[in-house]
Amino acid sequence: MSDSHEEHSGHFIIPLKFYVMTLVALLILTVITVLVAQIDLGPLNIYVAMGVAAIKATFVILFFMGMKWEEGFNILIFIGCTAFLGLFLAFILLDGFTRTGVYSNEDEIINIKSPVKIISDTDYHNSH
Amino acid sequence: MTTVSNYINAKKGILSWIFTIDHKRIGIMYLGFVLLAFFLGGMFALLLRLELITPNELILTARQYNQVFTLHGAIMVFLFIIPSIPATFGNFFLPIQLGTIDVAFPKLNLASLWIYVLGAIFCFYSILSGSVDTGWTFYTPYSSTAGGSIIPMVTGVFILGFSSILTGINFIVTVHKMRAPGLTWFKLPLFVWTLYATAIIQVLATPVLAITLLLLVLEKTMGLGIFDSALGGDPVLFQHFFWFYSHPAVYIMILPAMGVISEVVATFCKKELFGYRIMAYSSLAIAIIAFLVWGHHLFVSGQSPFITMLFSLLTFLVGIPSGIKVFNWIATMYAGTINMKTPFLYFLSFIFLFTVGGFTGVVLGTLSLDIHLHDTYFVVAHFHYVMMGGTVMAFLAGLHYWWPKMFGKMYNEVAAIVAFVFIFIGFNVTFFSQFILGANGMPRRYYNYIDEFQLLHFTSTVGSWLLAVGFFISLAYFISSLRSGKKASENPWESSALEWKTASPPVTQNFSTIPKRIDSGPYDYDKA
Amino acid sequence: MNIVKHKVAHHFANAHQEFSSAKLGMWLFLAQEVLFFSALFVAYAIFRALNPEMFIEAHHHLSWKMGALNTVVLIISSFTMVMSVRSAQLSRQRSTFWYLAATFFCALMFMVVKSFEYYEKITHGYLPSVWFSGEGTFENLHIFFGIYFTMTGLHGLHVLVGMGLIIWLMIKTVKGHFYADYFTPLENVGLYWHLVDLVWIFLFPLLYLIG
Repeated sequence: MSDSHEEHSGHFIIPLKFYVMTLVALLILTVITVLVAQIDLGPLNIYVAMGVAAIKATFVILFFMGMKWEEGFNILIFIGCTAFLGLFLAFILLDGFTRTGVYSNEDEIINIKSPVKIISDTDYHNSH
Repeated sequence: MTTVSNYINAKKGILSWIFTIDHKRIGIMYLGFVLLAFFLGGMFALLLRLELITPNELILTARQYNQVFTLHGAIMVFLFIIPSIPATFGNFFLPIQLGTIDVAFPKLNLASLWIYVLGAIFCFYSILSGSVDTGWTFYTPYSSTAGGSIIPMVTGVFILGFSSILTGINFIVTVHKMRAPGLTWFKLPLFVWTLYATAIIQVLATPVLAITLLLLVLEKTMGLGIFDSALGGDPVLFQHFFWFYSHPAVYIMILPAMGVISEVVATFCKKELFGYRIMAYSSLAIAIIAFLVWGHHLFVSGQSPFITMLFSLLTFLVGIPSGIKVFNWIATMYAGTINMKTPFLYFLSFIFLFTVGGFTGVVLGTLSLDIHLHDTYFVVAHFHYVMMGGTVMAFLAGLHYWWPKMFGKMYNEVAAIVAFVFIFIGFNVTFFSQFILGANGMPRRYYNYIDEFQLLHFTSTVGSWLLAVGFFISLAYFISSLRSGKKASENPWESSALEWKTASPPVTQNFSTIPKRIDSGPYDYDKA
Repeated sequence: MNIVKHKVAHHFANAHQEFSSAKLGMWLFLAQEVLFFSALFVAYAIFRALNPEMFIEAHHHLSWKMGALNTVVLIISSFTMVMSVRSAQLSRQRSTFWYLAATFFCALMFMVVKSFEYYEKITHGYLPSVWFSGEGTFENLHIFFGIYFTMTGLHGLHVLVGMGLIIWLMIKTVKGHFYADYFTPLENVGLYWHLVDLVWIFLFPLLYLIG
């Protein structure tokens, strides 16, 4: 194996302005998301908050993590894993919303005061 | 006799093995640990079958029985099948098949071996300190409330998961970055393709198992309240989390097996693999579809009817790429020059058993049938036909196929065929009877049963003894091969694959001269 | 400062292959980190969707001011991290070191704020069910705090690991290992650090800013 790393000295250096602008954008978006949260938009709040978070995440990924200049396959990995996260979330939420009664706690089935009961050896398969 | 330097005798002493970064030595150490786990898991299986020979108590109490089937499952799944082919043959042959001298991260590779051992130590500590009787699936709320030594076992599995993730990362990077010049994607052997597809699943699915088990420990220690219905949680959520990993994990087990089988059929038919490209694509397709079907484990667990239908539909999709593969293996044999050696016999049994296992999988994916067959011996028989009839047969095919390359010694062909006959017949006697038992309504994991089932249970137990005899014969001739086997030539099977173009056993650098450029495909039998 | 030349590992053909392999490996590791956190987000989504009022009540027990402060601190630390990588790319070792030190300081500050928050929750008993002794109209209030402590706890653990890695990088910088031709560990730890920041970017609105 040849030791030839002199020939690859030219790493691309990202211009400083991208970093500074990302920092400023992230700080502004943080202020926006905090301010919007003070106004009651009902169920819209969560969508606004998640939307702003997604924009912030995009900034971090594109510029801080350098995705804008990254190799194609590395981009695919990140998009892929987010897609699988989405899939995971979508299927389970779909189950949660189309299932009735299982999650509702109106019948007071929950009793936090009753501690977790460890099954003792003697209770276990008394018949044997 | 002159001794030529190879990877086995290049360095001496136990420390040269413990701290080695040679992928071949790591593969061999994995092979040792994995076989040890298989032996232990197999012993537990024999105990279970012996207990079930009568409906009454024979050698185990009910609680011990529950512990033994849990350990059989956990050891076979986490310590044997998941690392079996990728970590042993994958580690040994991936860099050689890529024409390079090592995986991309050799130290990480060594780390994943010792992380595996650490995980195994936790699992064995659990066995010694009270054991586990939850079943290998650790379903809540039983697992979050039951006594026994669950936390060490879960910690062990958590650690084993990271060993698997690191191997996966290593293999993906190796396939992408370490291929010899000229070796393009569609000149890669199918074993490499399947390892690649497996690695994708390992990286994307295994972390979900890790977090699930961590949440289980938190549920158990501080009452997190998301899995235990008594605290307002949802036990079905645990099953979703668990199977989001564990269903793709089934493909971690079977995909590399399919790769081994592809290598074996091409070599022993001396023919280019039929439909090479579609085989490569179907490996990736299986890896992706693997993530879309986990809900078929929850058909009767209380998930919504809507999602149940969706998962049933998606489950049938897996049949397509799997069917393509079976068809192509059979088509490869057509007009080939078939060499009926032991690995080929295991290939044939793989085709037969995997087809039975796969087809009964479609049966179980059918909603109306599943309600009857769920949690019966039919399910047990189904996944043993896939896992043992598929993966273990392919593991044995690979072990016999690559044994001369790994150790430079031949084994006794006659003894190998005798062992094969025992294993094949023993397997079918053990598990086909379980299909009938299950269809008749024998539930899985039960300690006793009605007298009508005794004949079938008895048959199944006798089958397990035949299997054991087969495996002990294999052990014997492999040991005798190591001690006094005939020296293997460079290419005893006259294969055209790259790993057979180096010495048996290979030198530490894999090739005496590293290939400058590789232009031939792995199955160029016509051009030779 | 002096420079220690990096030697390419024996199994790589050149420095470029080594760098791009390490980078690919890191992205794969980040992919597994995303899926590691995924189950927590799924659990959060399910329980929030089915108990919206309980989540609204619960989040009033968290201080959004502290959360916002920590968000700003982490964003700044991400910035100083990229600046330290950039300084290494320009072979400016002194500024590489100081940017790393700034990143470490931000991480430390994050953990200090976090521990104040934890202290407050612990003293008022807003904890997972085994230790829960808080007041509330909802009986399953403890689920929120179970999820809160698991999510922020695992995130905090990642911050601690990151702090350890940053110290290691600082030592290597002082020894002169990083320069224009070799800064792979800096780059990869940087990627890890941004992922930790990413997770927090989602945790902050989900836990502190509920309707």
